[in-house]
Amino acid sequence: MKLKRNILLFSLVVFGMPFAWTGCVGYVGGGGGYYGGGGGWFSDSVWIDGGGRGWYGGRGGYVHPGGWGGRR
Amino acid sequence: MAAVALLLAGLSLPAHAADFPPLNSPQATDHRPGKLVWADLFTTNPDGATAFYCGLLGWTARPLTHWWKSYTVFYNGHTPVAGLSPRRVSGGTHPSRWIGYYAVVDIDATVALLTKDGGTVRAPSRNFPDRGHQAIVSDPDDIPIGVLQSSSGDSPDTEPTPGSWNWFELYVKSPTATSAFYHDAIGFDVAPETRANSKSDFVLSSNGQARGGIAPRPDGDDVKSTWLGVIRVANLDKTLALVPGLGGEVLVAPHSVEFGSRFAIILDSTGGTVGLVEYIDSANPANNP
Repeated sequence: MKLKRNILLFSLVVFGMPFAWTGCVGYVGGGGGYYGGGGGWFSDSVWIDGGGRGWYGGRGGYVHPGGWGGRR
Repeated sequence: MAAVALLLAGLSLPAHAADFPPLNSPQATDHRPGKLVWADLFTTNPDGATAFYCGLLGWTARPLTHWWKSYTVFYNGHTPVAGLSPRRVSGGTHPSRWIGYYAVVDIDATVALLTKDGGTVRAPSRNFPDRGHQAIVSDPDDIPIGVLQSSSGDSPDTEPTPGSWNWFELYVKSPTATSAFYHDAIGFDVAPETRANSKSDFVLSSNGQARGGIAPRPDGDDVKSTWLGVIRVANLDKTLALVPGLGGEVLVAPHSVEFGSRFAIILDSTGGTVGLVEYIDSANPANNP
């Protein structure tokens, strides 16, 4: 029984991997996340780096609260 | 017979792996272009970021895995509000970045407009099962922005609850030129900001609802144009008190902004920046925490 289950699981893996690798599920990439940094949905490089501390230190910072109900 | 069964099982495997929560539940056909409907944190430190935001905001994290790939959905209560995408980049310093996604009706048309007006496609339109088609495009100032054509429609406009996104503000060198880009490409209504005490130049609206703002950024060598996502919290002081212990830093101290609300900017433990705002009901002080 256990042997049959293992065979079935192995078969699922063998049959399923090609469909994953060809990208038919939409989020397959070259490793990392579902979004697939490194050959996947996006090319992971410095364009996506955040600004870190940037200019926020003590100078910037303003926001519009949502504007709901006229009181905010 | 057995071979056919196995083949069918193999064919169905990827579909079962599609495990994104729908953006809108129950599903609808209404779309609200210009509404901020999702945000992803791109980070090289997914574990650290997950601990930070769950500890700070009370979010819960639900990891999704598919083979060797992973993604985390953050829930505010029972509502999915954000995602985390691990990055695979080595060497140097790579601060995390939040990227917000604005709802669109026709993603291909939107991406075409964005690129026609000077944008650069960073992640092409792709269908993510149970979510919809999404893409990331950098605007002419090289600031990435997401667009998302939801497969479940867009939720009605309601007041954000604590722990949910409240606003996105864009800080750029030339707000006027930038506002034209977002008007033409995304379809925002762009109006000069006229409210008292405002430091923004423009308000971006759609369907009569203000969605975000554009403000001038300071000059300086360390200045980087950026979108800043802002999350509503119930009690700003209590939330900020948690920041150092979680490995973050308060970059801009809490201060009063429009309508008496209070606002601050923090750096998370992985270098990502995010704003926090507490609504203050000045007309009904008893409603305040």
